[in-house]
Amino acid sequence: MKGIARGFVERALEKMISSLRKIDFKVVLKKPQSFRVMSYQLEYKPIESVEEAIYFLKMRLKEFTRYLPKIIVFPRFTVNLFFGLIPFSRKRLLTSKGLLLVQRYRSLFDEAYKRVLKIFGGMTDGVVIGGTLYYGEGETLYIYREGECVEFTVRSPALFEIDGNGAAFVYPELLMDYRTTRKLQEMGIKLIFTSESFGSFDPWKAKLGIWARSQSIGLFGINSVMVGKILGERHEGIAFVSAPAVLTRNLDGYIVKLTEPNGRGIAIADLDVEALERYLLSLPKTYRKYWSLV
Amino acid sequence: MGPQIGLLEFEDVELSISWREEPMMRSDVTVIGDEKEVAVFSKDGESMTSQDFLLFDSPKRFLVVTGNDALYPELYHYAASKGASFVIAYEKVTGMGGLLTSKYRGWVHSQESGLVVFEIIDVAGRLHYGIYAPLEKTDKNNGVLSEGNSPLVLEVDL
Repeated sequence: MKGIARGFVERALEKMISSLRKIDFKVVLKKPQSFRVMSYQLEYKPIESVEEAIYFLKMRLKEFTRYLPKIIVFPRFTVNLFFGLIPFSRKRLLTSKGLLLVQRYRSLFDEAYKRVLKIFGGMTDGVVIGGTLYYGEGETLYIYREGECVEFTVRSPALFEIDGNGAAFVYPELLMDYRTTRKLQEMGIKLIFTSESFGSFDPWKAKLGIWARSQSIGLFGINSVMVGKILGERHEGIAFVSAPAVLTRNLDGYIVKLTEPNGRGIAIADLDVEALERYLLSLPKTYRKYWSLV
Repeated sequence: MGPQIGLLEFEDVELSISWREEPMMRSDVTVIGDEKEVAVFSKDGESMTSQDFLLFDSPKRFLVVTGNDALYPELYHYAASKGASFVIAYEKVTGMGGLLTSKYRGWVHSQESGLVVFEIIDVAGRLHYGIYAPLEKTDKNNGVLSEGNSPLVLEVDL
């Protein structure tokens, strides 16, 4: 029986991927906007059929071609959405029992998702922070850039470059200590991607992570989020892009933010990296003289 | 926090914080400064001055920091590691953007360090005051004990 289910899932994934290949690349490909970032807030509803998966992917492609982002950011658990393709799995994926399914079929979905990401990346000519696959014992982050799909273990910062600018994906818990981001900033990191969510959304608690680091350290923070009941746990949050307050139009430290912690949407922002560099240069680096104290 | 003349109506004041004033010694401990220099006096005759930061031990251990040194989290973290209960920061900024940046930083530094942060900010000659504390220590769970342009008088359980 297990073999039959595996075969079904393999065929479903193959059908999903081949549908993307049929899209006329010449029509879709356009030059992305310089440092336009598109950060997703998605709802966790496991995709239950190949048709639904194809529709989901094509909708994303439509959004890419409409907004022409340089950087596309999917939240944690994005890969887990596709596990609904396993027959009769939806209800289990909403509870912790779903983890057994995820662990059993992980390698299949891992392989298929990397292929999807390469197609996405190839079409947009940008960088795709592809979200994660959570499997209980760990979590894998997928990033597509320069023709390659790279996997990272998310418990330590994943470092990469976008057009010569330092970037990192940092697990939300690591962002609670300013020293993590200070070290990254000293390494030249200007953009930090994360995926913060909460059991119950509180706008003040939501400021304690990357928004706070944007203010106290000085960097761009890009949050994408998966909301809903995921493998037995409730997640709420908002997608946003944060920056030092003086670089934001409303002086509130957000270049853009969504407002509903349970719905879905896209936060789109054009990042002015040069403005951030000018801002940081305008500040004296007095903190360095106190490193020996802390 | 604010001009010391505002303290005249109070019999007991433990700590007063103001910008560039002559010490009146009305309170047990008086902190006077600006973005470049700070001085602390106690009724017992103890006093300290500094052009960057200082630690003072009365009524409880606290750190006073001035100007650019107040911008960053490192000193607040240092204060916490030294057992300080609160930090007083003197800053001078220009424009609304500068003011909001400083206020957000004061809030963030308080959340990061777990300390109460008293901020006194000069914006083109006008003073702004703010007192920030960790979320769970504030009535509205928002990390703000008090803030505004008027002098602040309040009881803080440190």
